[in-house]
Amino acid sequence: MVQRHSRREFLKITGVAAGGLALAACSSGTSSPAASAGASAPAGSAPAGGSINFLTWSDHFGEAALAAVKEQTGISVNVSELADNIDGFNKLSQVKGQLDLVSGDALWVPKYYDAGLVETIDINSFEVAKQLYPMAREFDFWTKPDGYLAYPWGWSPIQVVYNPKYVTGSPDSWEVMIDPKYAGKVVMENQPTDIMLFAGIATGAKDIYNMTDAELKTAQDWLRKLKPNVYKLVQQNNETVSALASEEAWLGTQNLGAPDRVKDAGGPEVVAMIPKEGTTGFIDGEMTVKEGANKALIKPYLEAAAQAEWVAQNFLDNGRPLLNEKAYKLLVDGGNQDKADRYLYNQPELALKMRLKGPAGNTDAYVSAFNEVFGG
Amino acid sequence: MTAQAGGPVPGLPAEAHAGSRGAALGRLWPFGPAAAVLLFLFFIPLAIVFVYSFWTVQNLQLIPTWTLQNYLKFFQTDTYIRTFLKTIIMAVLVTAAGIGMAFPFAYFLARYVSTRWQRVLLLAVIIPFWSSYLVRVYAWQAILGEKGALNWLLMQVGLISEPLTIFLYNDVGVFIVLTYVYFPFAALSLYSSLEKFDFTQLTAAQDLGATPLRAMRRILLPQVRPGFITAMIFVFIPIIGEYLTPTLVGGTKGVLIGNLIVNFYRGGAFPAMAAASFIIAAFIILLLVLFRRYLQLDDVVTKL
Amino acid sequence: MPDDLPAIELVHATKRYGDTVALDDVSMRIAPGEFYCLLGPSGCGKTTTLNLIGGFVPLTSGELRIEGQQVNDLPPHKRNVNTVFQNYALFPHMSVARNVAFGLEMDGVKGPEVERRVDEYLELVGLLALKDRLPQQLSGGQQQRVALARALVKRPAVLLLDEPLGALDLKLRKQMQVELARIHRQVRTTFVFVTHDQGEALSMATRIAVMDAGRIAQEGTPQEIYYQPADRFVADFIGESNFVAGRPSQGTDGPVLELASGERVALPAATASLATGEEATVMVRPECVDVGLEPPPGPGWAVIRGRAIGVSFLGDLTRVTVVTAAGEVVASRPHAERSRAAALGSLLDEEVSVWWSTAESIVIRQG
Repeated sequence: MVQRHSRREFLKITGVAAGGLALAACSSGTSSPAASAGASAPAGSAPAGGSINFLTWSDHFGEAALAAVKEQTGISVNVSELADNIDGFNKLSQVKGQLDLVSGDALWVPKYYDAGLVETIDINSFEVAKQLYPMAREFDFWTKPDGYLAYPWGWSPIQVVYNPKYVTGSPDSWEVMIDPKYAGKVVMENQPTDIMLFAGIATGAKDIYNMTDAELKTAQDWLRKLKPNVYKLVQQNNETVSALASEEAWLGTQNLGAPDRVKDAGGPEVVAMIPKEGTTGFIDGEMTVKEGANKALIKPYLEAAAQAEWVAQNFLDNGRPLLNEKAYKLLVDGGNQDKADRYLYNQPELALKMRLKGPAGNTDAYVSAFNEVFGG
Repeated sequence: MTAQAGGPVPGLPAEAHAGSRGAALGRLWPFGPAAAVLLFLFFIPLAIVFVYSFWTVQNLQLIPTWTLQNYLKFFQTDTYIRTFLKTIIMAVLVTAAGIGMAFPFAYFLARYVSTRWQRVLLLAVIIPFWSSYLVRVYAWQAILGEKGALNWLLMQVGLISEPLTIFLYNDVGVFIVLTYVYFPFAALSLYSSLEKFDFTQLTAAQDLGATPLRAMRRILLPQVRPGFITAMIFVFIPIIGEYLTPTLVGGTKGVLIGNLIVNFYRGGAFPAMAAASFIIAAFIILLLVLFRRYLQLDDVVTKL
Repeated sequence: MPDDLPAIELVHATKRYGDTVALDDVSMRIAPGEFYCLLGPSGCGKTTTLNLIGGFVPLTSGELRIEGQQVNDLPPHKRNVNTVFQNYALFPHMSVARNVAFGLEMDGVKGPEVERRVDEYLELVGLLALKDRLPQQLSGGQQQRVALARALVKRPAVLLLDEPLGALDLKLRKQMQVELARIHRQVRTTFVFVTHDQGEALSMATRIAVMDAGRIAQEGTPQEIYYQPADRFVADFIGESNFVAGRPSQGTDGPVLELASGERVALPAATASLATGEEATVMVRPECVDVGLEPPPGPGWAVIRGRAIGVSFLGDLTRVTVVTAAGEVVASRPHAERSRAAALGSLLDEEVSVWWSTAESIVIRQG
């Protein structure tokens, strides 16, 4: 016997159900924003000037800068966050035209180009490009016959960071990470491919992006020694900082500027070093999406947002060297030369000495190698 | 009230019977939206991932190789099998601990607490759900850590003199937090079964010579079995797929199979991810089939 | 077991719940084979007494003996007492036969013996044909009989019944009253049942304990309770009563009560002497009171004058309500002949007399 519900009852029920669903959706949070299969918001047209959809890391822009850009050019920016290069590549492959500008690291950029996802720009036609260090306009890995692959932003090597109170002897090698003395005291970011790259460097692989099976095995063995030392794999950079600050961790890996960040978080003095075997690092830039709906707005946006004033501010906020030379002069004039020099801001040539980040030839094998050790 | 099968109803005009099959389909159209949602947001994505599990990936591009190697690789790799078994054991332990704690709580609530306070206590169990899962698990980091509340308490009481590191970043931490997170599911399932139970039956059983324990075993447990089954389903199965809690409080020692799958995903190794996911899904379906006798759906439906 | 050993004995039993006294120094002896009734309004302590005997509630002080053994601290499952609960409390996940077999299984009885006993008692309550049904498939009356069989199958020393007929409709209730009496005679177990319905008590019990506020107001056979109530409460609770109050005095033919109006109401000749100063009350049942224009002559009648303010024709009898100097007096007269009804009907608004034989009245304790 079917009961008749009054319309009011029906609305009440659906309202509760919808509310419940909404609550459930809010609370079943995932740790990585990358997990939301992602298109950014569809390109809506702003009153004047329009808007662009920017997929990037959180330190590639500042709220003040975006506001100023909007005022000057009328362009508003819809930012969606990027976890890593694999994430960005997969997302762009899926949504293509719904994004306009995507950030990427050094050797990933050519991959985007080869996959037909991004197109070149005429870097020398940008007014603001004149503010860059000249070498930043001439990276050979970003130079193509028909133009330049990305607008340069910043760079950083990955350093090993340690707390000298507990980690004695001024270590200078990756071996300190597997030293049994420090069991359970190492924190790292959960980037399986990156960790494999460190292992490759530590074990002397020739091309860490295309390790042979034998080299992968050797690297895996190094990982097996690393595992008991690592007590936690974190999702975000700032978790490494807090672990070091609370002295829960004595060792970790970080971009340039770790000592300052740990100090700011209320932690002790830590030392950052580049291991003698070498390290990975990134140079990143902004790529123009080939099928982007708002391609025409990219140049005006960059002309406004990449100005030295904003770059200098970004450096002070986020603390890693950027490739805008004029910004360095502004920092010096503003009394921040000490900090800038400490961050190697005026030595961009060091960027080319790192093993630059790029896609591994066989990510499947790298991830499997990692999982087999850290699986459980 | 049982529904009559769709036979002719005396007294209704003949037109009512004409095209009864069409009428039956017509009655089903309200399920359309739900079916569409199920199809497009569940079955089709599932089918796509199933197809991926037979492909391979090179240079972040999927190649339709059509091979079983992803599945074989899973079963041949020591670590994966070990982690899968560990996950199953963890799920069993958490289910046992959860039900072990939830049953006395639900029993006490249903039998001895006045109706007004029952609602209050139930609310106390449900309210944590209103905050984010992530926030709640993060809170446990602060409780279980070396400088956390638990160590502080143990030292205050004098049980230990140095803080212990055994509670966090390992299987113990994962076990504790999972039991906490899934307790409400167990408690609510058991409570809903127990509050429909007539406790005078236990008095009658004792009157007839049963000790309190025997009365509970012979009279109470058989009648609240649907509650137990529901509790087990809502605790055991989700834990098999858990990856968030291990990520936050498991460290490198408390890894579950879900974490492996997430690693595959983040490395762009979609075929491996897909194969592992379906192996787990197959396991769960196998369990449900084997234990379908105990599910007795009509139990659940009529007692709801 | 010696014949004079009571099946149940309560000695100065008291039960307190915090500040509330549910049972106040109650003593009773129930002989084997009795069909004993605990009767009273809600809150009088009858259910508490039942629960005490069953073992579901502990004594605060005093003693409880079952078949001579003190059982104060014995839990229910160890007592040789079984209960038929008000809501039957049958086990819904077991068939009728399994329900009845439960107690035997708890006692460790095995195999064919179980089945034999189950069949025997299902036959006794007339449900053998339904032994494989589930409780939910039975009617209320059938469920009660299953509960009965389930409790009796263990052949307990005492069977407790908690408001057994309360959930049944009128017709079923009358049927079950007869059934219970029959079963009681057949099994010869001591039955103790609790009810607030005085009709049930009167019809089924061998002895009744009328309880009020945790004490026994009166204990006795139904006739004793009915015709010789110990106090006003009992008189009022059982059946209907007329109360006439006045000052005791000596009349020409024997003791009388003097009403405020000066009328003198004759008391039973054998009334023990009453203190002349204090007020006393005499009680008489309406069915003993006659009404008419003129009372019969001669001694042995108590007479009061009044006016008939209400006459109700109830089919088999007529109730006449007469207002007198002592308040309202109700006469209940059967219609042995049809003409009687009309005659009584004609009394409405008339000045009449009510009278009764003094032997049918009883002086209620003063106060």
